[in-house]
Amino acid sequence: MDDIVHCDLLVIGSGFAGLWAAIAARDGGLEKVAIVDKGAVGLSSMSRMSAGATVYCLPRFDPERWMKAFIRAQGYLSRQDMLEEIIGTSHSRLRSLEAWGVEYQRNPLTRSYLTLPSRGLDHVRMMVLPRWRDRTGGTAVVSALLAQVRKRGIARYGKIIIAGLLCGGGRVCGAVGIDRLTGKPVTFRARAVILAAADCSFRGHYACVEGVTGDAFKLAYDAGVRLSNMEFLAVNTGPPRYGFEGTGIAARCGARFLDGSGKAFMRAHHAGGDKAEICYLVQAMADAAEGGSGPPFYLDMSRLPGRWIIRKALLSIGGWMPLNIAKLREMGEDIFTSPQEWGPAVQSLRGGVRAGADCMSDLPGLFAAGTSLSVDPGLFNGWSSMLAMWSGEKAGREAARFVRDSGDTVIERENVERMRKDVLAPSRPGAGTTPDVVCRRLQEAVFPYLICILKREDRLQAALQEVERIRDEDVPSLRAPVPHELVKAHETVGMVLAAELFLRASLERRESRGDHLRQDHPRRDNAHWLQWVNLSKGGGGEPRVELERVPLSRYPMQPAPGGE
Amino acid sequence: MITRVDPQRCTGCGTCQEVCPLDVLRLDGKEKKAVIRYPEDCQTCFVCELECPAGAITVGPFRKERPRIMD
Ligand SMILES: Cc1cc2nc3c(=O)[nH]c(=O)nc-3n(C[C@H](O)[C@H](O)[C@H](O)COP(=O)(O)OP(=O)(O)OC[C@H]3O[C@@H](n4cnc5c(N)ncnc54)[C@H](O)[C@@H]3O)c2cc1C
Ligand code: SF4
Ligand code: SF4
Repeated sequence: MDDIVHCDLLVIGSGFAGLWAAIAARDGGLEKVAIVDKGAVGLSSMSRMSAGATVYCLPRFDPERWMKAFIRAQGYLSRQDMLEEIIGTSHSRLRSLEAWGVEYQRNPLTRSYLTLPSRGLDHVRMMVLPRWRDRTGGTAVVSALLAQVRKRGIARYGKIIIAGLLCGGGRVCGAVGIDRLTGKPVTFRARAVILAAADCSFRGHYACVEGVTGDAFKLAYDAGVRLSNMEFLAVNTGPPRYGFEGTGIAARCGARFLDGSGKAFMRAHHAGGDKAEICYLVQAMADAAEGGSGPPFYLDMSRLPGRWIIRKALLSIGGWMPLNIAKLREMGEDIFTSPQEWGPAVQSLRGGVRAGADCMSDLPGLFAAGTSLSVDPGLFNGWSSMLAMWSGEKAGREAARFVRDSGDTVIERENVERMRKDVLAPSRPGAGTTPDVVCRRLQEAVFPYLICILKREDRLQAALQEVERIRDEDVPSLRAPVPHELVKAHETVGMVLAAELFLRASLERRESRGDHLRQDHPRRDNAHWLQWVNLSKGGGGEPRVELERVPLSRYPMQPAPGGE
Repeated sequence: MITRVDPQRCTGCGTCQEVCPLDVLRLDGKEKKAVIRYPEDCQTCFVCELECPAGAITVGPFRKERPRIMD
């Protein structure tokens, strides 16, 4: 087996989490660190497309208040052990980024950092508009991290999708992928693996998330580890016809959401009005749909004050937004002057790998970072980036320690050959179903708002039945005659599993909390549901469900007795 | 959606093939020029246009339709 890549640590995925993990592991003393990505290393990630707004708890902010705001907003389902460390160490990551040449926007007169409030989180502020050389937004941060990866001689393998993890001797020992251009299998042998391959968007409506297809969930699930918080699907808002990033900033600065009759409707639904947390905004749209006053909905940005920071924040985001806005204008769409059609947009499944405080999963040697890891169930501005950077650094450091303290791994030829055959299975000849058809059926099962926003047992059961049918009939018949389709077949299988886990966990949690709104259990129920729903591979092909109490007595913050 | 690769400008450097997250662009075997092989998979992220050193790629701002959440 001389075509195997040997390394100490394999990092799967290269957004903020994966890049930071590789750097930390190399700095932690590991010689052979390799990053693999199904796109280009770093430059195809969601991190790259992001605005790069990030929460850093500067010395002038109060970490305790931040903790309180996060934990309350996350419905007390946060991993408080992790959260304390994330907030407490965030300033050191800012210093590292600055040492690597990243600059965040400052007030031109006072030179203090320019910060904006993070929607739905009292007191929490995020830093905006990172720059690195001529790059802005998430692209700037990713490019700076990539430069550090290159400087450290970390091996990079782009255009390879990892489709299976190799396990043996009670630990992870490598992975098998497919080269996207040639369709050939590629094998990695590693003493530890970090999953930093994001979450699942079901190729949803939000901007730039079509490659986020639940691959990490499938890899972890097949390796037998537990996944947590899978009932929380973050549905954001956006325009259906084009991509847009910055709705939160726009709403903070005076943009208004209008219903089908042109009336501002948010106030009637939530005390926060247009500035309410994303989940309440989307739930208000669902209520309005039930009442017949939408869709369509609109976002009216015509009243935004012309202050430079708002325009600049909206226009400079993510590297791609200025080009997007300029092109829309060229086509006669000045989106800042007339109300634009806006609606719910599926963004990401908030669950992920259930890991210890060291980011290691149930399987020794397998770590998780970024959005592949489950820390808490909600989606907040600037928070995902911080979480990805913290967990990347943490997982990288802990993986280096694990490799130092544990022996070498052995991979068995038979095991490798079997997996190589398995990953190529959809490319066997014969008629079958295309990945696009299966994906479409899955989206039709999951996307209706009466499934993904307003949940109810009978509807969830019906959707689950359809997803199980897709799993049992469509998936085995997937055919992929060319490498491009083979990759999509694997992505589709990841999404099918993610949908099944989403629906099962949604059925299990018989209460409402954050993004999880059950019409048949509309209240938050702290007496019974301060628990995580964990799912793992059970016997007979069905997922095993386990409820795990949030260890609040060991955590710094508890909900008020009888309170919500 | 990606609309055009200008063959006159394309130098065949392969950057777009490398960076496209959805594998939409490929270098044509014979000519060594970029071609839009899988246009239906484009997510309108502009990454190819932003990274192309020759300014050969045009992406339009409108995206393909996805199944809606509300009808
Ligand atoms: C348009 C947009 C704007 C955003 N703006 C902000 C913001 O301003 N602030 C904020 O905090 N958050 C923002 N977010 C969210 C934030 O970008 C993400 O949560 C964060 O970047 C996730 O980082 P990550 O490292 O976990 O994943 P990613 O950056 O998505 O990286 C995962 C990588 O894994 C690779 N991968 C996936 N599967 C496989 C596989 N099977 N094999 C090999 N490689 C694989 C992918 O190609 C990708 O490169 C935004 C998101 C979007 C889409
Ligand atoms: S990046 Fe530009 S120049 Fe290079 S191959 Fe693609 S289109 Fe051609
Ligand atoms: S816009 Fe994005 S998805 Fe479309 S071809 Fe370019 S890089 Fe690929």
